[in-house]
Amino acid sequence: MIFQNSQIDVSLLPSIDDIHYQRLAPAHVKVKYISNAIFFFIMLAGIIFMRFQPVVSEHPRLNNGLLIFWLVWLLISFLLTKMSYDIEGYALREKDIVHIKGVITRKQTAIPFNRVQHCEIKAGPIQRYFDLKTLEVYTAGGHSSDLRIAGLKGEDAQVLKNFIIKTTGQVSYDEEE
Amino acid sequence: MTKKNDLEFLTKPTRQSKFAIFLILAKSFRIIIGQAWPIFVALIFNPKPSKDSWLAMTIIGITAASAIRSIIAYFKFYYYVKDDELVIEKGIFQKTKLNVPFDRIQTINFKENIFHQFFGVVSLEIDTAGSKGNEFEITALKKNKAIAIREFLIAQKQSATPTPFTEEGVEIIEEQEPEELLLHLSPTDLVKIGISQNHFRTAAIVFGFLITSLDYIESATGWQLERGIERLSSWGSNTFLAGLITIIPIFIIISFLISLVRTVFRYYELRFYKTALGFKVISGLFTRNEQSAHMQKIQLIRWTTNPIKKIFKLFDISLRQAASTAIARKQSIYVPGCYEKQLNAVRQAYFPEEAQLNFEEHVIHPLVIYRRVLYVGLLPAGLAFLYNWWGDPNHTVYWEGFWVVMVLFISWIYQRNYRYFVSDEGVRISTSIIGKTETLLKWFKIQGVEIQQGLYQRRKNLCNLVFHTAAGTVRIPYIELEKAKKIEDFILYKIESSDQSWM
Repeated sequence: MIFQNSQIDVSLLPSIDDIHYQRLAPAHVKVKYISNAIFFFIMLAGIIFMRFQPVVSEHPRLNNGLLIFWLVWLLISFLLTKMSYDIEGYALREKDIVHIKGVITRKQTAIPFNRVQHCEIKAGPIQRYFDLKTLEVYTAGGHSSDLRIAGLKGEDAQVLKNFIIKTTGQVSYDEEE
Repeated sequence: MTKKNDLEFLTKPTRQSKFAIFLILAKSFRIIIGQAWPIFVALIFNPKPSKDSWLAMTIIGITAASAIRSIIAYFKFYYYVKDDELVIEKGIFQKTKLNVPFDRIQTINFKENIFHQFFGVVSLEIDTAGSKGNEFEITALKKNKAIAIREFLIAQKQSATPTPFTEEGVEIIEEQEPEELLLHLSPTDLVKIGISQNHFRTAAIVFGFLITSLDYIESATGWQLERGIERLSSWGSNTFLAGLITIIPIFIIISFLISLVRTVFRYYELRFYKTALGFKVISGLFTRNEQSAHMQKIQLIRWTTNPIKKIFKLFDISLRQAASTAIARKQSIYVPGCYEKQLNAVRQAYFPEEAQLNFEEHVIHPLVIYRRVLYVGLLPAGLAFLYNWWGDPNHTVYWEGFWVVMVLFISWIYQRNYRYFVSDEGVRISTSIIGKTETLLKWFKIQGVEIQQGLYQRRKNLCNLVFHTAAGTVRIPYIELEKAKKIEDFILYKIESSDQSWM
């Protein structure tokens, strides 16, 4: 027992262990892949540009080193994207929202609705194409405790947000074009 | 309550006190001098016409420009009250209009430095935690005006938000009653605080400062310091060691004197009051600082001591208030030189049930030692070894070995002394290596709970338990996952089952 002398029976409390996490929309992986691809494409363009600069072209080892570095980074980041999709999830409970993520360091964050300051729905251009939204839940705990769930289906995000706002009675902002 | 006609000036756009021009000017001068002083030193010692003099000309130009700027800034700055908002208009090229609704105002602080005192004005700082556009300052106001504004704003704030403040609303009127003086630092107290400061930190700052200004001193005086140091260190390790032994005490004495002076400047005539609503601290020799904290806004309290402070039975207490991260440091009230009595008063006010509750003592897992040794000890030592070995294959591993052993020792003490005490209403965490830091946190102040697990921790069924509060993050490392989950369940239950407002 952890809490002696408590009036309530700790073993009867709703446990974080019983949570069944909701997974993100499958299209989220595609969004991630595409934004990764764009990032690495730009980087590759940079590396190729460097190839023709005297600083780099005089050192063939550095030249190839950059390419290998690029390839390794690319492989790792695509692998991590897939793995993190398999891990990430959220659960809406009656009085709080729980979010889990992280391949290497796993983080499980729980925010009670009566601590929520406000909610935002956002969507980037690639997300909009797949009709995905990002839900952001802000507390007064600052950056580190804000919840950010990317890759929700459009209507799911709206339902989640409405539920949270209804429960908290807080202000909300929409940032969509 | 203030009479109506006292506040007449608030209804129409008003400028600051005329002394504001001077104060703004003094401020920009201070910034410029703070950044460019080595050049001035160089000019004084070495008045050769060089490119430094061009630099000096530029600086004089910038100074003149900033003087003109501050005069214009004064004439373009207005404040007034409109509807339920305090409005500030300012800006020379880009006009800014700030509207601050009364109910968003979190704290109103006065600040006086020596010039303020001379002119009989104060600077009014208003903070709106959490909302956008955070914090602003009216540089100079006649003291009676400032007090009138503060009273007016507090009164307005209450009528604007009747619901969450009902209970305290009654008490605010009682705030006019004399406050209870908890602590008044005497000169002997100041000396005690000065002695017990962290001199290592000051020494490090002095050292860093010397290193960065070495170039300036050299060019100014013509002394060849760097070569001297090099020669000193190349004379063989014996002479170098002897030099080190003579330099270190000098260093410590200088750091000690600096700490002492800093202490006197900052905490001269410090008075720590308990008010009807919370706490208030006034201190400072040249700059008189007044900070107040409402009890509800205080999210957690922390007190520290070190071996020297222990001899004097002193604690430094910090009261962490809810604030936007940018100004979080400013918002924590720091009271050095408290005794057991003041500490107990603060604990009693923040956590009245603490004495009656049953706190269960827990330790963190010993595996934290190995992890720390690996990441802080072996990894950097290994890299350092590789680097040195690259340059000199006969390199010995004394320093690297010493580092690893030291990290091992410190981590071992850290784990051995770490305690957290769990109760129904809150937690107390006690960490200690040389000094000792204790944190007291009530569950209902928590904004979110997080369980972190690295790869290694997952294998060993351990985790870090993190509490996010509006005044910063509190973390318990390396505790059993089972325990952490139970605590999390309990905290969530505590927060969700009560309507108690965290602020």
